[in-house]
Amino acid sequence: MSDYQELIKSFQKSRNYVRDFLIYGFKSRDDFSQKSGRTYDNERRRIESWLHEYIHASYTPQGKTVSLALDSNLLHTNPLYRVWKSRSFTDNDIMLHFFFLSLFHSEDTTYTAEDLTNHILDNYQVLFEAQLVRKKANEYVKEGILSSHRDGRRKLYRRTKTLQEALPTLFPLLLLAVSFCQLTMPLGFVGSTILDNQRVANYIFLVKHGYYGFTLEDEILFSLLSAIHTHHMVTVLNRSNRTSYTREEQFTIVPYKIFVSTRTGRRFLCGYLPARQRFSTLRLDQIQKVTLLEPFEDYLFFQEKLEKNIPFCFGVSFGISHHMDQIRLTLFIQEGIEDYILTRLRREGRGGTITHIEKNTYSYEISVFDGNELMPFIKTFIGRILSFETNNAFLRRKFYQDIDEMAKMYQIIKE
Amino acid sequence: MELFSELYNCYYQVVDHILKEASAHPISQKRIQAICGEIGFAESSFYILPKLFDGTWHLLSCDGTHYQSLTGEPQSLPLTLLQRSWLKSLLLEPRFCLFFTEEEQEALARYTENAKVLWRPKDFHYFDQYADGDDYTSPTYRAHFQILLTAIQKRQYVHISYHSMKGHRIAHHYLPLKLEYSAKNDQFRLLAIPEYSHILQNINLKGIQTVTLLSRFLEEDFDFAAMIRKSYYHEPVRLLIKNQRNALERAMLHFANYEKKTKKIDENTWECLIYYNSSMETELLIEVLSFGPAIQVLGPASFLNQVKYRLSRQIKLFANSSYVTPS
Repeated sequence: MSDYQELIKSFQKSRNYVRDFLIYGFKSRDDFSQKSGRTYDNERRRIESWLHEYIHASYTPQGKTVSLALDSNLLHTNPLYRVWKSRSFTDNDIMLHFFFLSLFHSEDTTYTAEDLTNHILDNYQVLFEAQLVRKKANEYVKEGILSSHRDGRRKLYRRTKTLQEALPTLFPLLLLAVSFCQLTMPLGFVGSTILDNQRVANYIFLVKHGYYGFTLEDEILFSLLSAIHTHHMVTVLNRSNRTSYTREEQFTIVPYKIFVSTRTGRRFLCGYLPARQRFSTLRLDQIQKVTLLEPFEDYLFFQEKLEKNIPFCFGVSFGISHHMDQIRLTLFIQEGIEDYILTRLRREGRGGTITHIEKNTYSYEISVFDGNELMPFIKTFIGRILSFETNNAFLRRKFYQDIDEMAKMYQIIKE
Repeated sequence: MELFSELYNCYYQVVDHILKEASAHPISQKRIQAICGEIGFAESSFYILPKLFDGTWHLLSCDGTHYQSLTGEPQSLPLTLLQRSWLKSLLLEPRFCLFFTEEEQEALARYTENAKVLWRPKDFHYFDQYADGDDYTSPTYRAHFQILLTAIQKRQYVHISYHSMKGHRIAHHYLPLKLEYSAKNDQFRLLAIPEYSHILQNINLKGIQTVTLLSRFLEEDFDFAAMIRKSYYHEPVRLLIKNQRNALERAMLHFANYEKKTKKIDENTWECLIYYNSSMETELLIEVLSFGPAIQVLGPASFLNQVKYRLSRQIKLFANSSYVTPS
């Protein structure tokens, strides 16, 4: 185990393991056949260490299985942010960090790299090369913790204002807002680091329907957002993990939006594929790498086209053919007693048209690129569906087959 | 700007806490170890303690038994450019702005003016979010939100009058405990207990008509997690998941927000136990139905009976409906 470390250099390698643990937490050592047993053991040990408060282990005939037990009703932060807090560093990194914090006690204090080196030796009896101190100071300038300016030939460093110094009256309220936003906003991990810095934790806000795995894709999201803002094309390396096989493909895509499911937490890149001349979506959790390419000349033209297309996506699919799927659902809803069903239809129907047909009977109609995406939604109305009609014969057959299969499964009708 | 940076490392946090305490008074090895356990990962003390004690990280001095900080109390780190950029992006989000007046938002905008926006609301399309989310710009809603925020911090009782989901008007004294946000509903709920009761209630902020602070405060400690756990049914929902149409992965993602346990039964079948309470029951039932025959409910009987009831009602509707023209 001499090669085992709790901290890591690269996030990418551990990302897929954590995701698998989160989703297929019940996989045993043998299920991870792609890498050696030793790699599996190290990754498992690391994940168990990072997330030890949330780990649930059980023993089955297949071996020890480890899973993450996360109850979103009780979590004040995303436990998977801990994975982001595992970057390795050197002994010099951590010492210089705390020496800098101590030496730059006031925002008015300025030092050259040589001054810093001397003060560190005088105050803490540690000898560093001035070049190393300068490199670290320049890194902190880049990160925004220090600023630098020239005084003749001397380069002086100074600490930037802390949050408390910059916004003294707003500070407590801001921390409350950050407590909420670290749980709910994009790249929330960053917010959790602000709370870490101030040594405070959220105790007020919770999320219902909290899907925590999404943070594992934040580095991918970060690169894609940057490309969206600058109208650049990107190449993405995509790895789809179906149960039976894994496939790697590379796509050149013009990124436009991130589609998000609030019911699964799954996020998708929506973009234009110049080679196929169509819009498409790719799951963020399947994107392994993003490479920035040149700006896309027709960015705004296709952006406008996309905005016109979005109302016809029920989910994330732009369909595979040019024809639209027309769906019509007729429902039995007792007026005055079951109006909450109508509320659900309006709330969840994504722009579909609701018509009162006769007493206690309503229809819901919608035209979409891919009717298959409506099927889970339609099945939530089981118990009150009078009919399901569509111009897509496959969907129609599938719907009635599913109901039939369920009725047999629960022995409502005989096999 | 890097997301994965040592600046946000958990070990830095551990050492920060140790130095803070060791600057106020000398602390023992045992106490240092305890801080490592509280803030660090499970095995962090194996890596951090030797480096601190043998002086590889020359940050503590030792008088033989106790340790003192060499650097004094570490002050809080200024925000990095990444953190300021994150705050700047939040200023475009109405839910963040709920917390602040316009003047306060302007002060924040000035503080973040040199940072670049990481995302804009229009970069995201929440395709399955409910259409009737809360109105975060309503002055009344904002006022209610801020009163409740104050009450939760001070553990102060409030008088709330609101319209329930069934349309009843209710007025009562409550102790507000938490504010819960749902991205799916795009709304806030207040989790509160009525005075003289220990039963947790959810109140949609949208339905609140009036809320006023009372001059009473909760004095004793309160175990919120125990209350939630106590609300769960003793028997979890037992599901059999058949791995068809990628149902396994879909189900694991879909039910990721519940506390659950899953085990493999055979090559193509998994059993999943989901823990729930009465407030989650209907939603869970609907979610299970949305998977069609890929998921079979095995128990408990009360949950299974609801599935069977809906299905038999469906079969009867098909049998009697003039609308149905099955294939």
